[in-house]
Amino acid sequence: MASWYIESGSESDVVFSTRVRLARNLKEFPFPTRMTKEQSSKIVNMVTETLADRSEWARKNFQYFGINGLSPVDKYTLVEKHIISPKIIETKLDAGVLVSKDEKISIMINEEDHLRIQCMGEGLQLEKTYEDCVNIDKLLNESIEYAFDERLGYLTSCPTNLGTGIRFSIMLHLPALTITGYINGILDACSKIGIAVRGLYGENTEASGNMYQISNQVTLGPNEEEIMISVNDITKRIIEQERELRKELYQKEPDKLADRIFRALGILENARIISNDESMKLLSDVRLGVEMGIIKDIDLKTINKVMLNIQPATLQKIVAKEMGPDERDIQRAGMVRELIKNNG
Amino acid sequence: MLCDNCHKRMATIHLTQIINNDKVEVHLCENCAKEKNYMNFTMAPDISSFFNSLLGLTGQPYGNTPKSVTCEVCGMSFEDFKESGKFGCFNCYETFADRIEPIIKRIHGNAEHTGRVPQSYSSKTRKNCKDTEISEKDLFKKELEELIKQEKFEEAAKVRDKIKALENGKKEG
Repeated sequence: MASWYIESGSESDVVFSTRVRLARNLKEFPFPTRMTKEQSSKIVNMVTETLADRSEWARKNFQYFGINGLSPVDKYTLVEKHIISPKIIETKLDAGVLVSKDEKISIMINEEDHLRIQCMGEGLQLEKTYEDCVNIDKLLNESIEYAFDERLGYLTSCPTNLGTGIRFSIMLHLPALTITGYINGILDACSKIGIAVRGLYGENTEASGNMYQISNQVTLGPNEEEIMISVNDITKRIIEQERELRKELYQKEPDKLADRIFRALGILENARIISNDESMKLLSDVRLGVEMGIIKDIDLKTINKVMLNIQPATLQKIVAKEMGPDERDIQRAGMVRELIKNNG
Repeated sequence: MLCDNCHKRMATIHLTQIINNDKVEVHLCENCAKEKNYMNFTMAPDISSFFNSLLGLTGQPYGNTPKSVTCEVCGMSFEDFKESGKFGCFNCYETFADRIEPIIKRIHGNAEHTGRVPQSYSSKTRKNCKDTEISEKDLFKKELEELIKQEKFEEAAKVRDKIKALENGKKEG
């Protein structure tokens, strides 16, 4: 398994990861909503061949996975790693994903748009992930013609992605803002300036483990750099507020905060049966403890690893067997105890 | 969605009523809503124009639209779009241009694209076009940096050789 997920990057006391995606469509084909299966296969071939033909680097680095050829566990493991969206799993078309060796770059083919080029990285690193996206975009565009309009920009299946087709998303851990309830004010303010805040797994998902995803709504009008700057500025301000509040929480009632954190750790170290939900909640508390230096002998890397490994599909993939929810809860508890005890 | 009353026209008025603590949703077309006096509250004209502007129907009441236009390329109708929120192909944007305009305005404001353009446009004059060509060497260099950061030195050495080979190849060529 690639390791970037567990790394901790810039501003890692609050920022978990950065993700950038570009929506692109091929000029000669209808969008996936109106496409035949034959057309979708043609696109899969065109894109995979183009990438391999255009670049030796890409040929060495990318592997293609057809969605229909994957087992349910493999599909959902990719979803849990944010490499594919849940939506692409339901497709009746020929669809799939090109994934780089380090699992930071992925190109979804025939999801809502023909192409969704996505780059991820640990911590806050908008510029680098954006650059990676643009490089793939350029490679493909050397021999694939995109649907584009001077005024509307890159044409996408849904008008919400028109223009740049770009979405910057930052995954943030915001326990202090959530505990104090100030998060609602932030959500409000963000929605007024065209920034969406969602749960960890995108649209309509809850903020499990106090993890939030903030991203730009507007894609048409400002250029890519301008959008990036505004997302970056807002992220920085949220980070500042979260840090301030954490300090305040600690200064006001240090024992209360420490108690909460160490109780969570106690349960994770000892539980024999634990659900995904409960572990995400407790891990958020422990993570806060690590981020604030209250827990000293556990690394953030360990927490990141636990967070991914306990997800239902990833867990089954690691244990290498399909399990029902009850058995998963037992295996999960074991996995958490082991990882925390050995610090990774 | 069709009108709950006449079952013929598209429902453009959506009302939520609370009756005896039960939530009841009613979906009506403009005609039936008028008939049933649902639109006689003070906000009515605004709500109606609000919904119409959302759907790009300003100035043309639904019942009078002669025949539904479909996209020549993919066969999509505007009704299909309203149902799914997704267009069928690049040509839909031209076919339904008038109706799309207010939708785009609502999402993005009164905006025009100023970002990157495809490579085929790069030759044309455009102010924001700063794209440089992507080179194989740069891609490997990025990979090298990443490998060094991750302390994967053995793999890094291989990539470094690759970059050297590319550089030499260029000199000879």
